[in-house]
Amino acid sequence: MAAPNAPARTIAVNVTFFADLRRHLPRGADGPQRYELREDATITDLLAAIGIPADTDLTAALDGELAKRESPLHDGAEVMLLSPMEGGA
Amino acid sequence: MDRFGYWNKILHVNLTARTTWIEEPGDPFVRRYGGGRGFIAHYLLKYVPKGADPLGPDNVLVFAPGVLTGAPVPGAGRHSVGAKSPLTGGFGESESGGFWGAELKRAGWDAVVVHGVSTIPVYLWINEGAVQFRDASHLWGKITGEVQDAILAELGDPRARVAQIGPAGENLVRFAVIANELNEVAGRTGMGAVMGSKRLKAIAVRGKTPVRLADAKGLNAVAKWVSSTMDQNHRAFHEFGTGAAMQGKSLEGGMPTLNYRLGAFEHVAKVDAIAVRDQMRVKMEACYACSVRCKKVVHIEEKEDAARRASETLYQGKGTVGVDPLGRYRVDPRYGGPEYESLAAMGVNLGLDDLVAICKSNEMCNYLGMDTVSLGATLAWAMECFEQGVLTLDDTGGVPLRFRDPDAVVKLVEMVAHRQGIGDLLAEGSQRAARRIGRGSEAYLTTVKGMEMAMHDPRHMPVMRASYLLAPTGGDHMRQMDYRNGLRNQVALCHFLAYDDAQSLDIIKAVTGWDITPEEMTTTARRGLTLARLFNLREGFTRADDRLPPRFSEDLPKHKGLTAEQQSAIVTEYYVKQGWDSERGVPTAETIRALEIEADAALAV
Repeated sequence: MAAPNAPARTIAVNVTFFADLRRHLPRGADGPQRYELREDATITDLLAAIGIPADTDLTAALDGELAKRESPLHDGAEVMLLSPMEGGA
Repeated sequence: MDRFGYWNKILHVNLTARTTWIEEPGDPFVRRYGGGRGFIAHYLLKYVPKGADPLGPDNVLVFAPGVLTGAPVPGAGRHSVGAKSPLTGGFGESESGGFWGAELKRAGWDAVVVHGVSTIPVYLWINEGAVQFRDASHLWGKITGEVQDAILAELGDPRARVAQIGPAGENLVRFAVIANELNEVAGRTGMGAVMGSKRLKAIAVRGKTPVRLADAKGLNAVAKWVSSTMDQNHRAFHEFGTGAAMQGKSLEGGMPTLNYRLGAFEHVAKVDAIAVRDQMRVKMEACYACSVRCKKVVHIEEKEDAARRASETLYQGKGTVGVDPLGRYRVDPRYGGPEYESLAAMGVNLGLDDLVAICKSNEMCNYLGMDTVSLGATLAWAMECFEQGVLTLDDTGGVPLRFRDPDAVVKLVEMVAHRQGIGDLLAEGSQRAARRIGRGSEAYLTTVKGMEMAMHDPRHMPVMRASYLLAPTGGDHMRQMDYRNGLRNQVALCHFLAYDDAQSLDIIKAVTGWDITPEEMTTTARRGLTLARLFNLREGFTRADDRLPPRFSEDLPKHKGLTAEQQSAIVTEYYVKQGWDSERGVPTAETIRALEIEADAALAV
């Protein structure tokens, strides 16, 4: 059991934003972005940390596979945030 | 009276008699129809006799901007082209971006209606109010880039805009397009073939009179909103154009692959818009007045030193000129670059992971003048037929039609445009080709009402179901259940601009000065849809045509097929929503009265 005042363990995940979700990239940034989260974080927690509203219509992939919002993350996880709908043309 | 946004002038051109006349239809007409589909449906009902041959002299070809076209606001560079479709035999219509529609408005015209057939190839020169018929015999057979250069040189006006057909339109390929700026295309339903059947090679237009605005200041505020919120609202289109969502589509199991048999493609990341940007995109271009700038331009050389030279001299090192590692193809940046539909239809759906070949096919479709969606889907159909032994080498003249063969696709593009060998059959579109071949080939079709479906799978995307089932143009993905697309089509406001309904209303008011309400906007959209429906009913379409092909009843690995019952429920719901009878989809008398289209409806019998 961890000591009562021990700091929560964290994990680091890499997030790649696709299509119009790139609006959540820091200005001028490109490529995967690193986020540090609590070790029990899920995709939902990640979205909150990024500032993506919970009701945003998006697809999340974890290590190349479709993932649900409640999917737990792990240290070194590769997350893709995609929005599969785009217009005509 | 003061008019804003439009001129109350429709140009009618009779190619048989070489005459023109001006119609001044009146302000209520323009307000009632808006432009686009509204104008097109009105003129098709008025001038095209029931049962007319789409490639015959009785068809009309309508170039219809909207009331917003030409206004200095992002998204106002659109126009529609319509006629009876040679692909479907029904309501034909296609939207285009670019500059041509805005130039036509600046020339003082709200639309052009082309009647009859010329005895020799001609092009029209609309120079403000003056219209000339000019010989185009020397241009017939030439590709679009050569034609544009020749016409601008002949006219001595480099700022004229040219809408034209390529060799595919001349050869009456049933999915031939009308292109302007070489890479802005009225692509669907075969409008290029109609233009070719009239021996009309091009329409050049020059206008110097800005569209009058009711509230220029208000409109300017909207334009500033677009550019100042680019990151929040338009980043993906601004950075990539379309095609940046393909990996998501594939992960979700909805990426059209191998003639819509699979929903995922392992190599999708090699051929999406991100790969285009990284490997061969030299810049992005814009339509008239638009800051979103969502149009890709690609440049590929066969050799590395040529690519390096081009990068330094043409792009000052700022663009990525691609190199074909196999040294096969050069892709001319004049012809733009592949958007999503082309990357999918001429790429993933044919099993291709060769982005250079896909770009080459896209370039060829633009200079030959063909719809990448219908061509790609027709090729996919043919390839599945070949795979299943329904088409053999005897049928194809020794040309194997195989998925995953990029160089074969490039050759087939040329063969179809010129109707050579198996290309002659494929140029008819997949539905006609299937009817000619028989042998069960209809099982592999992905057409609705004769037009190949676009590259969004309705099994994956519920929002597409009503569009494919009920669009008057057939397998069209842009006619979803709500009225937003319909209204934007008619007033000509680009769908890629993230204006909400309130902003769209503000834009219409700022341009036209009309005291327009949301209800009136909805009525305008309903009017266009109902008129198009009336045309199709007159031409013999029934509820039986409002269904998806059998392919979409099959399951995908991640999505269930759509049952006949599911499709029927969507159709009935749509009929009721539009005010049509729930069984047959015939607009009721009450709806016709409410939409004030009694005169048009009387022509639909």
